[in-house]
Amino acid sequence: MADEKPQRRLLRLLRRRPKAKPARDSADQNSLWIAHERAVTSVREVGEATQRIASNLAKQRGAVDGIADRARAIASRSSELSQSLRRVHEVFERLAVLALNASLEGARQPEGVGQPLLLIGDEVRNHAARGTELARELESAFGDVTGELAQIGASVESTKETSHEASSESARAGSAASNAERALQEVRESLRRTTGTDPETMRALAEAAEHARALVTSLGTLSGKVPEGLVASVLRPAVEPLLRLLAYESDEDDS
Amino acid sequence: MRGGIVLRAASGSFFVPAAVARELRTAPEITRILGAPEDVLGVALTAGEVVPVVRIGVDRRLLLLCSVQDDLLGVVGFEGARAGLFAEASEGTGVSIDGHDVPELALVELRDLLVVDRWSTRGLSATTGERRTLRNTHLLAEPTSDRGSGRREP
Repeated sequence: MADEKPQRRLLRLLRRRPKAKPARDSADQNSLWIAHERAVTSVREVGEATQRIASNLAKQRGAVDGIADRARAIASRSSELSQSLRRVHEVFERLAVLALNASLEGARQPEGVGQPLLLIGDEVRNHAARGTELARELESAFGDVTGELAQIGASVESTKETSHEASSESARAGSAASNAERALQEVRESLRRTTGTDPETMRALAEAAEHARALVTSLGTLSGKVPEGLVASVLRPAVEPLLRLLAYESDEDDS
Repeated sequence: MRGGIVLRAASGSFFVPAAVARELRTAPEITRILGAPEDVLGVALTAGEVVPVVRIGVDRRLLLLCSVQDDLLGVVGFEGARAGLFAEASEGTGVSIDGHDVPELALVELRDLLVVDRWSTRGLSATTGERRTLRNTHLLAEPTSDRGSGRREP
């Protein structure tokens, strides 16, 4: 067996049906490590996403607080304007009283003498009535605006509460992600102790196996098309260390 | 044509002649009087004088100051008013507005409400004989006052 050509030994070794159990163990370990890596990545993404959500919620809370302040300022201003309108309303009412007194005075005068006062009184009274009506409409409209502002204020307060709850949930999610990350770290240590491997090793082994499969595939393609001597001379420098390793492993298996 | 002011109350419109209607004012604070009939709201300080106030309706915003046979009388309880020259009514002493007769306000009867001897004696010492009106008897007013509250509505 030691006299066998190295490349043939390699092919024989590589084609030899591997022992079932170690291969399955290796595959399971690899799957475990891959799953672990995926879990670590996912948990890390969850943690980062939670932080982004918390950050966005903080910005949202700031914006909502700004809106609440503005709504309060508008409500206060609206209340002042409403009071001003009430005063305007009162002024028009007093003007109407003045106009009525002017008309009364005109009516008290002898016929003809009081006519100008009557005319002025009527005119002023009409204007005062229109002014009173407009002031009343404006007061009513301001009442509506004030009501709408109150609703906006209530909505803003509700939004603040919701945002606060979302922040709390986000903090809980972040905490859970941290716990999960720590738990996965413990799983990683346990796996390392149990299997004697680590993700980097398993990843390198998987890559090596992949390359080996590619090599075998390529050799299969070349088989019969290229002289074996040429293949051996090209491959020997690259595969000699592997052949030595495989020969050592094989010898140990045989012994 | 008759000059004066037409008061619009819930119970109807009433005409007050210009010779009697002295001035229209926003209603001042009215002080209640113990034992007064419900249509006598009390007394009010207006135009520098203490004036008894009677009502013809529920509104309390305006007060018409009237001269009734040398007595001043405040009338409240109307929502609106119109002053000027009006056509005489087809019947009675009122005026006609838009084809409708508006009666003259019975101010003398309102003033007679102020005769203290006719009031309930509740809260007052019973008096007989001398005819007393609210004129110059405002000291009977209650010490506390409120405007437009605590009174029975018609």
